[in-house]
This record gives sequence, C-alpha cells and structure tokens, in this order.
Amino acid sequence: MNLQLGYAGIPNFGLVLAVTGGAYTVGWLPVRLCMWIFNIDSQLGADILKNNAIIVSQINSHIQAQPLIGLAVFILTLIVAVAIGGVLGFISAYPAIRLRSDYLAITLLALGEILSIIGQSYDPLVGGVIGVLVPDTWSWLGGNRFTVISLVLVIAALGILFILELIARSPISRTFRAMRDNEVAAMAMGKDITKYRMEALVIGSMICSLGGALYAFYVCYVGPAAYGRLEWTFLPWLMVILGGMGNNFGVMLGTFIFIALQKLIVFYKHAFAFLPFDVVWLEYLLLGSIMIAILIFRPSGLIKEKPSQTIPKTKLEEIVGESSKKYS
Amino acid sequence: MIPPTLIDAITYSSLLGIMTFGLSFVRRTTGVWNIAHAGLVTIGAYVIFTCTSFFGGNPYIYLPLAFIFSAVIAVLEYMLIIETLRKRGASTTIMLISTLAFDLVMLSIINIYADYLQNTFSLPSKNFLLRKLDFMFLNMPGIFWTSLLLLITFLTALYYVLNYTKIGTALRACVSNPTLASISGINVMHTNLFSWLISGGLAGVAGGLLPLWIQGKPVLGDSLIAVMFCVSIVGGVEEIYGTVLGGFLVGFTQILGTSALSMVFGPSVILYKSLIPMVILALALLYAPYGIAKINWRKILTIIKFGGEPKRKI
Amino acid sequence: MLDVSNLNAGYGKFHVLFDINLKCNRSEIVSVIGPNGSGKTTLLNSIFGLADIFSGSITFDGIRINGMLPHQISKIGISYLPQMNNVFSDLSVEENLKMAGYILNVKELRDTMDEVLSLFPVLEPFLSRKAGTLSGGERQMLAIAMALMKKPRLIMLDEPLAGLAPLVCRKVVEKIVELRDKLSIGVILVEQNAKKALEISDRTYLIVSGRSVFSGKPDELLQCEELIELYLGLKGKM
Repeated sequence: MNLQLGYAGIPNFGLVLAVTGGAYTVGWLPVRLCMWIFNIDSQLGADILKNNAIIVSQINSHIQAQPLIGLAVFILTLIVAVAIGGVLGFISAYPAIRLRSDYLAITLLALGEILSIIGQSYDPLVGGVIGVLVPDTWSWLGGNRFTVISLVLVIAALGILFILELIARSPISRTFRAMRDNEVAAMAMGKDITKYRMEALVIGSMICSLGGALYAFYVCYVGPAAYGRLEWTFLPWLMVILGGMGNNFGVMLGTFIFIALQKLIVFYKHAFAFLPFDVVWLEYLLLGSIMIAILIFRPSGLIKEKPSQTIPKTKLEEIVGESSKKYS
Repeated sequence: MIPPTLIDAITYSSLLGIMTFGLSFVRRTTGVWNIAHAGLVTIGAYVIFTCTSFFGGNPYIYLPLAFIFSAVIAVLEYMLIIETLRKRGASTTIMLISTLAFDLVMLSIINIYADYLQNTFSLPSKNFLLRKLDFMFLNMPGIFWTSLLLLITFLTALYYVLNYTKIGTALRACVSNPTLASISGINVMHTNLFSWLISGGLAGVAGGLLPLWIQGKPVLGDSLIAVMFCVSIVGGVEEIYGTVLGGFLVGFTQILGTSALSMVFGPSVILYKSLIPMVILALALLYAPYGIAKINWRKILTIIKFGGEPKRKI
Repeated sequence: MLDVSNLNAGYGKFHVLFDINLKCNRSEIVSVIGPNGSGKTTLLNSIFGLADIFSGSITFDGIRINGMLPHQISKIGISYLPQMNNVFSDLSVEENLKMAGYILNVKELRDTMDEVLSLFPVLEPFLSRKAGTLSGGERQMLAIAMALMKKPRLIMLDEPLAGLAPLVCRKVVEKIVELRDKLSIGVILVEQNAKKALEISDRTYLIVSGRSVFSGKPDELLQCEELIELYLGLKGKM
C-alpha cells in the first residue's frame, strides 16, 4: 500500500530540480506532458481505439507468454517517454524562456491546460474523454504483479533520487541556485541564464514524463481526466512545498506525509457519507487551505535547503587565516 | 444581416475582454497573476444560476449581485492572502502558487454548493445553460448586445475615472511609482484594494453572463483561465486597454479561425479552437512579449513606408 | 523640530545605521554627507517609515513618528524627495503636482499649485507634458515643487544635485537656499557633492559606514584635515 509512495515521488523530483534551477515553473506543464508521453507510446501496442479493450487483453495474453517482450516494451517506452518529455519541455518553454519566472509559469500553465483540452477532444491521441487502456507489460507476473511493480517503482524512485543528489552536489546545481537567487549577479558572473534555465526545465520535464509513464504502467490506464491540473500540478506542488523546496529529501518527506494523510482520509471517508455532497471536495478544500497556511507560515517547508557545500570548513578557515596574515 | 459567426466572435471577444481585464489589472497594480480569477468568474455564474432558479426572472437583473459577490471574495483574497504574504516578503512566484491554492479552495466550495443544490433541490447545478432565458433583439441574442454594450460602457467609464478623477489618477500614480505615491500621501493599499475589487467584480459579471452563451459548470472559470492568460499576455499588461485588444484578437482568431480551418481540414472544431490560442501565445511571446499594445507601430510604419529607419543627421 | 536619537536601523536583517543622532530645526539647512553606501539614504528612509527601525526614536515637534506609515508621515509636515524615481513619469506635470497635493482639498490644491508654480515658473509651459519627457534639471525642479505642495515644515532631499549640469546645479542650490530663507522650511540635505553641500549648510553630519563621525558646523569640519582627506577625498585646505 505504501509502495505507491515511490511512484508519486518521481514527478516531484522533477519539480525539485526545477526549483533549484530557479525555474519554478516546470511543474506546470510537464506533469501534464506525462500523460501525453505515455499515450503516444501506448499506440505502439493498441491500434484501433474502439477495440481498445479487446486488443489490450490480447496483448496481455501475449505478454503473459513471453515476459521478455513485456520487459522490452516497458523499457523502450520509458526511454521514448523521457525523450519526448524533454523535447516537449523544450518546445513549450522556448518562446517564454526569457521572461520573468512567473510569466513563464503562467505560460506553461496555459499551454498545459490547452494540451489537456486537446487531449480530451482529439480522440486519436488518447481516446478523448474516455481514455485508453494500456497493455500491462507485467502481466506475466500473474498474482505477484502488484508487489513486483511496486518494488520496481520504489527502485526507480530511489535511483532517480540518487542521480538528483549527485546533480545537487555538482557545480551545475550551484549555478542553478545562483540563478534563482539573483539573476543579474549570475549573469554578471558570465553565466548564460537562458541556457541554464532551459536545462533545468528540460531535465525536469524528462523526469516528470518518466514519472507519468511509470504511473501509467502502474494503473494501466491513460485518460485526460485522470491527468488534470488538480492532481498533477497542484498536488505535487503541495508535496514539494510541504516537505521543503530546493532539496530532495524534503520532497520525499512531503510526499510521504501527503500519501499518509490521503490514506487516512480515504479510511475515514465513510464516516462523512451523510453529507449532501461528494466528500472529495472537502478533501481538496482542506488541501488548498493547508497549502495557503504553509505558504504563509512556513514557506521553506519542513526541511530547509542547506547552503551548498563546496570545500570543507577547515580548509576555509585555513585560507582565511593565511590571507588575513598577508594583510595585517 | 450579420453572419452568425461574426456575432459569435463579437460576443465571445467582448466577454473575454471583460473577463480578463481584471486579471491584467491586478497584475499591473499589485504584480500578482491571480489564478483564482477563474474561481471568481465561476462564482458569478453560480450567483446568476441560484437567483434565476429560486427567484426566476431575467438573469440580467442579478448581475449587480454577481459583481458584489465576486468583488467581495476578491477583496478577501487580497487582504487575507496576498497582503499577508507580501508583508512576509514572499516572491511573486509564491504568491502565484497561493492563488492556485485559493482557486482550489473556491473550486471545492463551488462543487460542494453545486452538489448541495443538485441533491437537495434537484437543480442541474453541475451543468446548466441559461440561453432560454435570454431575449432577442433585432434577431440577435441579447447576450450579444449586452456583452458589447457592457464592454463599451466599462471602457468609457474606465477612461473617465482614470483620467479625470482623483482616485483614478492616484491609481495611475501607484502603478507608475508606488513608493513615491506612498510618500505623496496616497494609501497604496487602498488603491490596490480598489483594483482587486474592480477586477473581482468584473470577473463576476462576465461569469454571470457566460451561462447565457455556454454551459455553466463548476470548472467554468478554470476551463477558460488558459485562454485568459493568453489574452492577457498577448494584449499586454502594461497598457491598460491592451487586454481588451487582446480579447478581440484572440476571440476573433479563435472563432473565425476555427470555422475557416474546419472548412478546409475537416471538423475537429475543438482541436482548432484550443490550438489557436496556443499558437497566438507562442507567436506573441516570440515577437511581442510585452503585448500588441506595446508594439512600436510608428516604427513599423516608418519602415514600411520608407524602407528603413530614418538616419540621424550629425 | 526633528529629533533623531540613538537610531539603529536597516532593512530586514541588514543593520545599516548605528546609534545615529540628528537634529533639524526650522530655517536651517542641515547636510548629511559621507561616502557611498554609508547609510545616508537609509537615514532618510528611516525618518519616513521606509526602512526598519531596530531601536531609537524619531520625533517631530514632540510627536513620535517611528513606526508610522509613509503616507501618514507625509501628512504631518515632512516632505521627502527620493534620490531616484522622484516624479511620476507616466503622469503629466500637472497631475504630478496634483498627486503631490493628494491630501489637500480642491481649493487648497488650486491655491497651493498657483503658489508653487510662481516659485518654479520654468514648469509652467510643461503642465500637460508627461513628466518622463522633461530634462534632468526640469525633473528635479518638478520634484522639489512636488515636495512643496504639502507646505512642509521640513524637507528631506536625497542627492538633488546628482547628474545635473553645473548651471542647473546652481539654480537648484539657489532654490534650496530660498526654501530656508523665504519659506522658513527646515532642510535636511543628503549630498555626494560635499563641497556644495557644505557651502550652504548651517550644520553638517558626516556619516561613515552607518556611524556618525562628525557633527557640527561646516567650518569646524573643514579645519579637520584628516577627516576631509579620509572621507571626502579633498586634499589640502579648502
């Protein structure tokens, strides 16, 4: 049950990178891109939309017989997903990349929304409002499918976390942070802001698409309604802000807390059945208010960002000691 | 006789202009892109729906109520959230996220309310169209006349207020130089409040008019917010009338473009309708990032007329 | 009239001023000079409620004004001319003056505007022009005129001579002296151009790195060679 935590964390890492990159904006669009990415790949398996269900079950039985094909499709699709994510991120950000960060955010949001509408209305892409079933590349696992796939997701999440931590400790991350804190100063130091912004955005998009693709494989379904702004822009932001923007562990913490909360709410949902409205809105109401409260009272989240470590403190003291001797 | 597509285009553009004006306005005066503007629009729609469902009558008479409701909520949003964040030194992006959260809160409340109406009173509150309550004048739907008239009246009133009244000039002063305005004795928070009030109210009015033309539902505002941002950016936030211009540009292109494209490429109406604002936005960002109102038309005309810019004499 | 005592101020966590004392009375010009970044503008900002005051007090005619908001302070008789962006560039000259006199009623506004325009006849032909199109000197004149619209008893000027041609400088300096002599206004003058400032001030404060290094008559300061050389960059006797 709690293994879902793994997959949820993935798109959020995309956000973290973006945040440290000063392109707070990535969150808007790519999370929606995830869906797109995946659905395009699903077409590799399912040809005709109307017979989608039949085709999918046929494919599933094929895969049951030949697990290697399942695995191959899985990995191939992920690679394509990541690539397309990067490209889409690049294309959508390109016109707006020179703008101020909130202009960029709005633009990406708008583009994301519009893509969503297109998805809902243009059938060949993802089956319109109804959505598409996705071949279950893990169907050869039979009954153990659930556990295994959860494990895979957790491993994937940890893998990405590891990579991101490496990036976070690298010079690139420092540039990102400098860019975020003071663009003008960073530019004066000779850093090409636009290039770095785009980098942060593209990498973030790629991670987001990966997350989306993995999720789609997990639930075996892709439909525009399930990949809306609500779940995939607001919620990840909530998790990131709750846990702490700008550091990966904060994001993990935020994700855990959120999922735990959600489980609790679902558990007690039946207690509220007497209300004359759908309880899910109460949940969102609560979430929205929590977000506002966090932004007002503790915008840095639960785990604050640590300043980047470059050289150890002792070495610094040495250097300072020497230079002060020189000048006195 | 005016072709129906043109009527559509004018109505849509006028509504877009009224609806989006507030978005640009608060951006210009307080520096915040208010995503919750979507919610403010939806609230207007639900005010009209509630009133016509319970009290009957012409939906137009309830418009002032829609204005008040949305205006009040906008002011609340400003005072409780935006000002609080500003005092704590929050960045514009943080304020942006907070408006997203507030929009969610509003959406939840609207949905709860709509559910309540539906379950308790069997009203079609999740999906309603009020076209049948509209009147016809000269063979054209009332909404066409009202939206256009409202837009023109509003623009005239705005021009007058901004240039001939004290508060209007103070508003322009605050936009031009808030610190100096403060030093001169203008209470900048009051002028900001005023701008949020007007923005919210206008959103409510536009939202109240929308169900006379398209389906009203809880996500009404949210479904249009993307286009609103397009309009705002394309029209340009700097010039105060740019948004209206943007509204007409986007509106006309969407409607006329869609019908043109479906004649040539086949009926994927919604696809075109959604793609067009995206294309316009991308073009605008690449070639006129400050909006069409800021394009140096004189320069372009000179280049066209004389084949180049005039060279200075030394 | 204005009494600043033991002021510690800055912005957020940034501590700029340390134990500053300053007084200014009617009909006197007090100059505040010192190197760049020493906190002169912060001092003016603190008086006007635009900076954070950590400790100390500022009183004006006995009323405690630290903690008041800028638009409140503008109503009690103090005018502030900031260093940059001191006019509304998008508004016309006339609108600028109207905004400067925001707190006046219609009749007062008209009378004061006539008065002020008689002091600054150079602005008369520009009334309907956008302030942003004026030249540097004209803009400065407008800014001072705006400061006068509230009929202040104290005017604070932050580097009014910056970037002005020498001839225009002279005119502005004349106007400042007029403020003291003809209108009996107290003037706090922050200036980079120490020479000019010292010429016209009655008293002066030298502020370096947020601390007051000297306060007294300009002549006394000019006799202190060390200070002059170190902080004002002027070698030899003046």
